[in-house]
Amino acid sequence: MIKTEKLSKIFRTDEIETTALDEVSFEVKQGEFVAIMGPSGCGKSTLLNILGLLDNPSEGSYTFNEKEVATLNERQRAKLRKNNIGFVFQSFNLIDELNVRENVELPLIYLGMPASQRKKRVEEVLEKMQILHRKKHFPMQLSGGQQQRVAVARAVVANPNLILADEPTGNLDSANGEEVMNLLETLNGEGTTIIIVTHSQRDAEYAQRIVRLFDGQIITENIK
Amino acid sequence: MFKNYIVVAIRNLFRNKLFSVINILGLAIGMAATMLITEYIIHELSYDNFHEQGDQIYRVVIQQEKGGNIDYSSIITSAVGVSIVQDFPEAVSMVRFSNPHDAYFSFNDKNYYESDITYADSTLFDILSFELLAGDPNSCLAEPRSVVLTEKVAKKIFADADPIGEIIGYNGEEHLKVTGVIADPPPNSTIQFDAIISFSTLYQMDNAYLGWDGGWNYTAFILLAKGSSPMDMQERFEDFMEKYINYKYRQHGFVLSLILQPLNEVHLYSGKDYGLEGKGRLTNLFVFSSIAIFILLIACFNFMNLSTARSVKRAKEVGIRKVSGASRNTIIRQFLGESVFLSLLALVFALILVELFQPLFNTVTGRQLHLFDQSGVIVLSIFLLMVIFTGVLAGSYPAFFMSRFQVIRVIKGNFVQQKGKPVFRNILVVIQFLISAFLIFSTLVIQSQIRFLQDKPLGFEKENIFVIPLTTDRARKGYKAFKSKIVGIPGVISCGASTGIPGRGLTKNGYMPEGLAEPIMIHVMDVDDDYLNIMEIPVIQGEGFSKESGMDTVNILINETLAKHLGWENPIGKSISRGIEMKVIGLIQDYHFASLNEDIRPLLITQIPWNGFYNLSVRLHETDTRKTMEMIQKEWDIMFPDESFEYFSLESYIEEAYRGVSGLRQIFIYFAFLAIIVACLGLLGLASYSTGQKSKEVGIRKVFGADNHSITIKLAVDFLKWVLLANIIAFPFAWWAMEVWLQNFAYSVDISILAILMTLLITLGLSLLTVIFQAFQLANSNPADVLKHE
Repeated sequence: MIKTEKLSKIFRTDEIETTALDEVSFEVKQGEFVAIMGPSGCGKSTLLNILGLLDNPSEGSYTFNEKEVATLNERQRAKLRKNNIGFVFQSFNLIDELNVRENVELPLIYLGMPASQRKKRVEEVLEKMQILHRKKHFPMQLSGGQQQRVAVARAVVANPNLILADEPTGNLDSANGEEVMNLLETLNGEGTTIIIVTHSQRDAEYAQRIVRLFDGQIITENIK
Repeated sequence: MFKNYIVVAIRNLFRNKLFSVINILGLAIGMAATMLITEYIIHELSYDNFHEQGDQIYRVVIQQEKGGNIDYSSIITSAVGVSIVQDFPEAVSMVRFSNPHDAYFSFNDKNYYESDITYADSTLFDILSFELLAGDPNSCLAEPRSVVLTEKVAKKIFADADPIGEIIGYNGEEHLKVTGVIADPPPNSTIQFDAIISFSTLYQMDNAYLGWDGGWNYTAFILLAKGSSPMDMQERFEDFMEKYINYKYRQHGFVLSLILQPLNEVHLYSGKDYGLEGKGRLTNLFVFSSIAIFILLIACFNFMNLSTARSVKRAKEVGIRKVSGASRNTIIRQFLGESVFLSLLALVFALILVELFQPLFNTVTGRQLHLFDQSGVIVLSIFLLMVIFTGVLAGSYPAFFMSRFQVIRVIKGNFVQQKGKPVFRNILVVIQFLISAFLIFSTLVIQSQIRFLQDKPLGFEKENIFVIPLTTDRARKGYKAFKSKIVGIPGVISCGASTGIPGRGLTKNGYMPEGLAEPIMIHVMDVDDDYLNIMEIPVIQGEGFSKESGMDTVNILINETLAKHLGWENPIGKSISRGIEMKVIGLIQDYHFASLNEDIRPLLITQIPWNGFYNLSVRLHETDTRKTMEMIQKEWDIMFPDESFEYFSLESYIEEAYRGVSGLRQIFIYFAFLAIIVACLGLLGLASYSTGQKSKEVGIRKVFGADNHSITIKLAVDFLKWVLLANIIAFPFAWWAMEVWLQNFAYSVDISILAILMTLLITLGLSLLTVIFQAFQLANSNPADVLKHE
């Protein structure tokens, strides 16, 4: 499903040049659960952003569903993104002005789904995430764990093939964290490919494979 | 998706109340100003557009040239129009109107005073599209002594009875037959009247001169055949004028030329093209619309500034939407939609403001305007366009700015404002205050010019003078007896009669002063021997008219300007002739007999009125003038029982004459005030925003030893320097613009440096008031609170 070859990302400012990713080559198959680990600044998030089509690599090749996507422009990436990828972030990233239902509905709106179908689908997902009773609440009124469940609901609502999670438990206590990881595991069980970036060995244990990054390079790949 | 945008927009409004209030209020003020001015412009542009053949109708203007001096007059002699139709096949028809005069009608022993009565040709309804409500358009103005009354006057005299065929008295001396009722002329008509008497009546009157070379008392409108243009007739005009008049006038150094002015240009272009006094002024139109656009711009800039300033807060939303599948275009559309929505809300408030301020605006402009009474559809569509325009203009920069945000940066929460200083925002602030400073400076100059005009000695005392128009022959003949009756009334100081009054303008005639080979045009007024005394116009050389000499037919007085013009250092004893030779017995001090916008012209005063004195001016003691006037009226009613009594105060009449200028002043004052308020609202928003932005900086400064005082000053200066820069840029433009404006006046103030200082004081003072509270609050914050958040 995902394949990168000699993928590099270099950030340049006037004075300095930082290599965030250095010729990274790896592969993720459909239905896999992969965790990317490594110390701060090793390039995990950069890699995740490129995999999630939020950013382009400086060099190298990236094929997504057997299509070269490394050189797509913003508009093409946006189109591919909304049809295939769901995101979960450490800081939840819910829109404060929208309530739970409206936040989860957002990806479906951009997919152009009719309102009645949207409503049905959102309720289904909220039900599954056990947060349906809070659908009229605003993010500020929810606990961190609840917010992250809403974020996961939003990530899966459009039935993406791939979910990318950037430290999804980073802002949660362990009980809530575990709950979220269980959710992701369930989704993986249903066939969704999942890639998470994490510092936590416990979270990484949920994955079938752990990729370790250091200074922009893959140093080990452990398969469970 | 639309619903989702609206939901977010509304919730954003309520979450950020200060920003919402500033934005909506600012936009509403800008829109209200634009609406009022749009109304005014639509009205001004609509003048005379209701005449169906309007594009074929022309007003006759005569250009008089003598020795390089060019004058224009739309008031011409009676025969010009007739000859044009005779000599030019293109000229299908013409209609003449006499200058409106005041008179009174009587019916069933009651008098009805009317001020705008005109004589007009029976061709009126063939050419102009005034609506005849009763009577036959072909014949109603044909017979002598026929009168067509406006609906208003007919109602007044006859109530609901049918007036057609009724005989009414005219100035107590003659009778007229009512042959028609005409709809009141619409307010956007140049031609205004209360009643129209058939022009053929004039041919039966002894004292109406209807030839080519005298009696400049008529306006003529020519209907040209379809497809004809005055341009094609231009060459023949010269021969035409030679044939009728120039062969005679040329000997005296005058050359007259004929101009046909399109009817639809009469209202707005007469002043610009021919220096003719018109109610409409093209420049006012430009000035007002620029002011409206300026205020709207200031409000739009507020919106742009506050939105981009707040963009950090909304960056996250943009990021999430992009991650959820929104493209850049959808984001742009969302933000544009949001600002259009906000504009719609502002429109609602703007409509309320317009309703509230309409009466004031009408007073200032001297028009009767209402929001939806003209052409509702046009007005409405203009306003809707305005909403969309405002929304898109205000929303465009924030929309493009925010849609550019990079997802990863905003989503990770480490989005920081673009590097360096917010250049664009500062430019907008500078432009806002530049406009404000410009308007305030202009207001101050206009204000001082008007005060200058009001305080400028007129050369006579206008206080407590009341003018009684002598409209009928009987009153004019009996004025002496009446005068002797009223001088005995306590409260009356004295009274005097004259043909003209100050502020109204005087006729000009050709005179031949001693020592000159050619006649010159001199303004002339006839007075009785008391007039100059009650007006307190001093005779500075020689003597005035004396009671002993009775009606003096050979002695005249002249003003200083005429003496100077003729180079007469000692004018007493010199002669000036027109038919007979007259001797100068006195030199009077110059006084303003016309508008203050004009120089004082040469003036000659005689005692031989051609048709009697038209005005009796009475000077009263200051106390209880109303009661004194009532006593005067009693005497009038005894003496002239059939004639109605009218009077007005000279002081208010002269003030009225300057209303155009003082209206301009008021508009400037109000709108300059609005501009600075809206600009300060924006500054308030930016200041409150930067309270958040700069809290860290302030915290660190305080930790390292800065005191509250120095921080407050630093923060205030950060804002005020832009206001100061705006002033510096504005002054040369404003100064230049005001110099140009002041050239319209014969007498004007010098622009003083004080105006600059005042403008600086006002703009800086108000800005300081706006930001100081925020700055003070920020400076007094506890650094620990701020830095802990980091």
